[in-house]
Amino acid sequence: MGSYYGSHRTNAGTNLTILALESSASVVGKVHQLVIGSAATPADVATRYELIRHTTAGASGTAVVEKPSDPQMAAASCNLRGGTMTEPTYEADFLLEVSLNQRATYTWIANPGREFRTTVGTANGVGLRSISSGGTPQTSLTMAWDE
Amino acid sequence: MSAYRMGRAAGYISIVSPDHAPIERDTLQCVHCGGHWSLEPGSGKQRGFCMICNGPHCGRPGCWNCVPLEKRLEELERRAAFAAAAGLQ
Repeated sequence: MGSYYGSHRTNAGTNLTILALESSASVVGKVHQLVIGSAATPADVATRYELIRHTTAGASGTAVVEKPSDPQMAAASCNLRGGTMTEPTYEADFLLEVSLNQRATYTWIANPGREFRTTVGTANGVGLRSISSGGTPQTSLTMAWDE
Repeated sequence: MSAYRMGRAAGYISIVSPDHAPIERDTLQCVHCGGHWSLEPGSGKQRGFCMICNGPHCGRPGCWNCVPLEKRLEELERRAAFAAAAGLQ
């Protein structure tokens, strides 16, 4: 089992994915940590984020390099895609909802065995998406997962 | 610091902001959809407990009937495999 990290920074807004973790054809990811913040000039902007499973992967966007927590470890099988992108097709229900002021930094950590698991298949994965926002705050996200 | 902590939590959140003291919350995980939420006493949100899975569920409409998380994930995977085999993806 490998443990990996990936980070991406982009503007939030209405239904915009910040970062999506896509399964491979045979390997799933288990997301166990999220850190959401902003490096922009401090301002009061409220944004609602949701972590949601997707059943069709996004397109274009930014290819984000995954980093193993152990440099000796093999490269990740799952794929990271950063926004702005052609949006994936998401499920209706979210897995985690975060409403956040741009000034705040939010950290979520799963206990072992309670991670968000993706399903196999390159079309499947999970993405953190800004659902609505009072502006277009730049958002930084770090995601950690095991596979 | 504002904190709601509990035993047998599924996760933990921390919010640090210059506007207020750090907030810490434990989270529970829905046994049906896998979603996490933090307890907010007095929020009025209706959650549930599945006697079959022996765990809490988030209370969303799709989670009141017992479909265990693993079964749900398997269904999603079968659906994706079928779509791929049928050339729909």
